[in-house]
Amino acid sequence: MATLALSLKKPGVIPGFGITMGFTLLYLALIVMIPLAGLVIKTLELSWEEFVATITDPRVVAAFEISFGISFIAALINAVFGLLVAWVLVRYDFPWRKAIDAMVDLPFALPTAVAGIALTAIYAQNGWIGQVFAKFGIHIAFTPAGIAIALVFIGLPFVVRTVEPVLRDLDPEMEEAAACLGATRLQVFTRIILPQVLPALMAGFAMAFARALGEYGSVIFIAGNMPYKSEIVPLIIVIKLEQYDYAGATAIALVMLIASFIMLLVINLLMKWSHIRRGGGMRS
Amino acid sequence: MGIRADNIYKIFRDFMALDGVSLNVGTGELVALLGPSGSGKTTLLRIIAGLEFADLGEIYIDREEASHTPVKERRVGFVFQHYALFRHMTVFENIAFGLRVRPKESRPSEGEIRKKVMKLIDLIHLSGLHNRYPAQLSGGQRQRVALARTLAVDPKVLLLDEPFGALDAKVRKELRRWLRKIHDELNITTIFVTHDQEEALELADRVVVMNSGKIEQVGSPEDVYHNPANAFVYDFLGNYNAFDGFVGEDGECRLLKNGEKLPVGTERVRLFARPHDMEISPQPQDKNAIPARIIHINPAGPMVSIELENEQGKLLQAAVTKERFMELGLEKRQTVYLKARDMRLFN
Repeated sequence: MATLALSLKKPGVIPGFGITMGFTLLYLALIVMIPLAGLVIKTLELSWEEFVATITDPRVVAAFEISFGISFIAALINAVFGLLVAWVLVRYDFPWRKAIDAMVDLPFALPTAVAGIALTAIYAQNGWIGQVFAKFGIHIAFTPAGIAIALVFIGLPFVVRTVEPVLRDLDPEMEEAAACLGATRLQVFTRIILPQVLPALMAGFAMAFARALGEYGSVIFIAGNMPYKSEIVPLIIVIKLEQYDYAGATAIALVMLIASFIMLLVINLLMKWSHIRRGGGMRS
Repeated sequence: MGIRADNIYKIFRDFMALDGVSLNVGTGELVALLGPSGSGKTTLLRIIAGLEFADLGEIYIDREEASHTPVKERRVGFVFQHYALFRHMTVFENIAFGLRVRPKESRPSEGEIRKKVMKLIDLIHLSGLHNRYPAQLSGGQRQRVALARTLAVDPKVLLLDEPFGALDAKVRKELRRWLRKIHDELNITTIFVTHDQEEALELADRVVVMNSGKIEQVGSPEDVYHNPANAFVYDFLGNYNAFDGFVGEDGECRLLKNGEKLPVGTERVRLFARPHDMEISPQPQDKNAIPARIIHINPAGPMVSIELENEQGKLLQAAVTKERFMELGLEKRQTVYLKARDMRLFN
């Protein structure tokens, strides 16, 4: 016991280890662990057969496919264009840069339902952008494409804000050194910049993806919510709740939780791997 | 592969970084650009490399106009003060980088790359460390990797920007010697930037002293040290004492002593003397001797350096040999007399 207590307590210059650690544990328990445990306990009301039947219901499976698939696509789009936005914000100085910089955070602050309604209005067949696409027979609102747009919208700041500080920290001399050694601009980007930004980009991707999976407010307005076509998992959960099928709702939520957890774990392992590969990630 | 810079001007916003600089560097020469920070030496080096472009003037590399050649086609090796190693790559990959990014037609085979890189790793005495990352190396080792990385692409010229500035004194000395050796072996035209006069004098064949965007003097280390062209060069290349004086009727420089009036028909001039040209004596040597009080004695080093204060409270420096110091039996707070063996006058 004594050794355990010793190994836990690492007194440093800054006091208050005991009280801050205690608070951290209590806080995480109340806010995160207990509600999640409740999820598991509620799901246990179902028998194994009922559980399997709930989560393999074709409508639910379709929703899983849509949620994971479109969230992944949206996060991928954000990874590409978020990197571009962050690049422009860091590397160039132009009028209104600060204003544009602030705009990136809007999806964080805006109530998602407002975003959903606004996007729907614009991308609907008679909306500003929707009518242009409608001429070519492309419908965005009330289709999976609409879901993707809503998810791209809410995920963008995650990528930009994680990549931005890393880009800012990049040593411009490294790029100059590469150019002196005969590298083309493309080679400088793929061999020097991208490898260094990759861990942050993956972190941003993971966060955008996780956020997209759980998004409800903005999507339900633009998705059209047609079963098998444009129904997302959070909506299925809400429908189950409205039918007082609490155990069914938690069963689906549990699957979602486990899947997200595995995804985040994989991404974290990838990041750790690239961190080790860089020799502990220390600055050279 | 000579380098010629012709009347280079460079302005950053409202700051004149280079004010009409012309420089000729011969094939195989080792040249130091020496000057205080802000003198334009790094800017000149970066313009030669193609990392920066001159507002006016031309650069010739190997007699070819290269003013607008992009950096990747100039075939210059550039070594940065803070190494600029690719921190996500091993030592091996850092050195191999320049070979790997070549277009397919001219890229050596994997085996050739390996052979060449390993040879360079041997050259920089880092055998066995080829799988390390830059973060796992010491400063001196990193700078050697940076040098090997540039040598891998067989550059026509080697440019080094304060290459040893971030290293401690001992490693700096060692790397200096080693750079000299590599330069002599490969006989590659080399320009390096430094603000350390000792480094420039010790290492270079020729020293270019720069100040506020202009070249003050170009010459051999011996030349710039013993025959400085002006007060700036004299000042920059070592410690000195400055005196008010005048040129006498016989053409000799005389010091103006405390309270003494300027003789009619002469002009006030500034006279300079190095600390080791100062003679110390407990008694006045002649009527020109300056009385001063010893305020600090530093006996560590080959010479004993002594700081003194004259009657106006101005700091003077002198350096004497250990033997002379013992002979005179100098002590702190003692009043002595100073005389300069060699004085210089700059117009």
